[in-house]
Amino acid sequence: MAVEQDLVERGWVPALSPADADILCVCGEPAADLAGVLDRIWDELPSPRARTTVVAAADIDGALTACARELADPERQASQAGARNNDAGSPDSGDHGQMDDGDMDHSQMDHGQMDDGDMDHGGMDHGGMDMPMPDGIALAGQGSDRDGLDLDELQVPLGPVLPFWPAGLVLRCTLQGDVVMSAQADWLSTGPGAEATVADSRAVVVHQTDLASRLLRLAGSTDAAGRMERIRNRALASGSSAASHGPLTAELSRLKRSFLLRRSLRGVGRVGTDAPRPEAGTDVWDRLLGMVEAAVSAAAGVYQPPSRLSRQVDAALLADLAAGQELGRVRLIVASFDLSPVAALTAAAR
Amino acid sequence: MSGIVQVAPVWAVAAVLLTVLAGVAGAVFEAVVQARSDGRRGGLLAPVAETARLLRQPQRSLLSADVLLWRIGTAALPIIAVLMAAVLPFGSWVIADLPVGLVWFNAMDVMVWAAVWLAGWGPNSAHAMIGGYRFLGLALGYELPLMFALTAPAVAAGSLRMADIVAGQETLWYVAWMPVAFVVFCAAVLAFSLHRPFDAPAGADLGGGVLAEAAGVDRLLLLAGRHMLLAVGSGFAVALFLGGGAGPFLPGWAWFLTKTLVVLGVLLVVRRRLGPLRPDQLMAPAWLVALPAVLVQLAVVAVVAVARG
Amino acid sequence: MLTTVIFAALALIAVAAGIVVFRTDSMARATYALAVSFVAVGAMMLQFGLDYIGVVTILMMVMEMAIMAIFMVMFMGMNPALMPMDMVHNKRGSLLIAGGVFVVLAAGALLVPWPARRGAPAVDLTASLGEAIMGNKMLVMLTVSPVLFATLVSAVVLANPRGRYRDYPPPLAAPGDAAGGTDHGGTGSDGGTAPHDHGHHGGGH
Repeated sequence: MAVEQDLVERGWVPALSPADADILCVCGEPAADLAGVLDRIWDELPSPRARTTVVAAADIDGALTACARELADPERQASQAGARNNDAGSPDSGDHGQMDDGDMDHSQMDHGQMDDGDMDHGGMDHGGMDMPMPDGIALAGQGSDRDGLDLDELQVPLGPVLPFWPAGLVLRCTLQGDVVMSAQADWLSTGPGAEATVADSRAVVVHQTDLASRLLRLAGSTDAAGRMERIRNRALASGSSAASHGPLTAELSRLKRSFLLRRSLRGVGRVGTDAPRPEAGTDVWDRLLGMVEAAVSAAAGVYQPPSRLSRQVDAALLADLAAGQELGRVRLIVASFDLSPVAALTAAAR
Repeated sequence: MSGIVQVAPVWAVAAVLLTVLAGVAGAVFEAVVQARSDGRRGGLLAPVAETARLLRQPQRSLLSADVLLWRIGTAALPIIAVLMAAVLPFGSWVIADLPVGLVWFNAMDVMVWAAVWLAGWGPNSAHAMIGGYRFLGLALGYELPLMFALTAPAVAAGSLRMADIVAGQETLWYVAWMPVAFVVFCAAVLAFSLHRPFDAPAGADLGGGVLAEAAGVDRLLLLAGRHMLLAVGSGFAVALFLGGGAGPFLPGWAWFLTKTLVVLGVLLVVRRRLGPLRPDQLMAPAWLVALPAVLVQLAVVAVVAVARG
Repeated sequence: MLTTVIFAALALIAVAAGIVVFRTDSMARATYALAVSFVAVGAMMLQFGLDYIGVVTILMMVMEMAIMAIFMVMFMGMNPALMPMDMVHNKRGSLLIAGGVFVVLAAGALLVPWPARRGAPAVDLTASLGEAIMGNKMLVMLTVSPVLFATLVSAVVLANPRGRYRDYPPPLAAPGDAAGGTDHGGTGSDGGTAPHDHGHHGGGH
């Protein structure tokens, strides 16, 4: 998140996909498997590009400046580009670009998305069919849709790295067109250090506003998301959460008055009322308001550790809610839950 | 205003340049607005910087991508914008005074369907593909209301030639008695240029949708094409509903340019009030609200046209 | 002279694109090759002076090909990779029929004596063509078109009111909760569903 703030100050823009990005900034120490994911994402960046790893908040400025200098350095970039072209000739160039039927990793460049910093890489599976396989990729399989027609379906894993996506989640979807027919959620194992339990009201403010801003961006309210992000950054930078109380209350009332957003999010991802969860009976709109309300109460000094269930239960719920939904709605549903590791997040900027 | 005159084909170069510049103007305005709302500084030079950055990048190659179709799709967007501009009367000049100029415009915006779908299909990537699907779903929704909205000025002017439609507004601009058609037309312009609230095909929840895999020149062409389409669409809105180059004191082309830039600005600003529509929210408003409304509008226009003799 | 050259070029493009439809290795390419062929035919109609019909042909054909491409992908599950495909069936029979039809049409075009021109072509070719074809049935056509259109739209809306994105599998709940209502909050949006979590959608979008 501090990285995001730094970007805003520099006037840089977070990219939505690796094709759009120039810099890959990894926050935190990646686990060994994550390094594999990151390498593939690094492959997808078009030259000229630069890469850096940031572990502590103080390093951010220096690291990003170094990246900028590296990008502007023509000799270094030319030699890198030359090395890439040589690589592309090898038979394993299947990894270059890496887009086949099933595969979607889109990194969320320059976004402090990798909160835990430790992720495994979920394997990519293709729908293994006995069909002609050009370049070794299977064609889409056949599955029946709701009207009983036999239509094509793709196996597409969403995550673990996507814009506005909870870190470490891999949602394996069976996609027919743009409708997810069924999904299966998997968590990449988090390594040590992701579950530090320093928790105070400021951490809650930062965390909840972060979640809310992601959801707002996905729902298209970029103005509201921008304001939420500014509140988050100010809370992060300052020592206490009290200063955010005013802006948060204003934001909450503004959200409640926004007719279009409410109409757009109402009824999406409604959890059954009999579910043994704190979110029973809510839909995405309710959960959005819940996030902001939690931030407001934390800013007022009332600290409540978030009640979280185990990730396996989360996974089952996500799979249920995502089935039969259009892909955009699935993204909103995923973004509306607090899917961070079970222990509360640290307050440090990761 | 004197009649519209068709100029020599060599002026087509100027037309292309003008379209590109109008697109750039739109891009600059959008970038400034976006930067303001994100709290970032700058934005004024963003399109120039973005162009420079993209030109530095090589195009990406993807596994099993259909490169021919992909390049065709990305290159087609700006070309379609220029072809549309060919029948647009700029003040009192037009490059190609087709007797069916309005239908040509409609044909070109249908070409956008093909271009965007190809740009989504080509890269062999699920997110881009879904972007292409979303666009076709969106297109089916806006196309019929657009066609009927286009028929309204044609019926009022009694001709499909753009010059006649502009001339028919000498007494009263069409927007005054065809407001529904005007609104639907503007919505359709936003839709075929993939701007909010209709940018689901290029949306953030798809990692950029049809833009997801494009880098370098491809990306530049796609982004430029979007802005150029919006600019040319605004120009058509002016010619069809806002009187073309009509206005006191200034020459026709100056008024036309001013009005186009105003419409462009309004279209870019009004988006902030409306979030992007998800695909499952697109169909109902188009078919159940926009289409009957524009049909009623068309009936009103037809009755008036018949009554006038 | 120039018109003949252009006509010949367009004709060649149309036929060549048609051949490409069957020889190419990808369904999307086949679809768009067909689109190119149709566009060439539309351009030829422009050469006849039939402006409106030519441009509308181009419009309709590109639109149709774009939709057809989706159907192809939907039913055949192709990916953009180029794979050798064989799209011809019943080769012998279709070759005979195609050859026969070509001979008949070519004979008609070349051997039928064209009438001599009387008078000059009308100013508005489209209107005169329409009147020549439909004559005094024009009013019937004009009335039938909107009725047809309304029927089509109503049929689609009736058949699939919520469209593609409605709940699937259909919720087992009582029909009351699926209809309308944007603010059902947490109250009774489920009736008698399976005991575990089940996503419900309380109402319209």
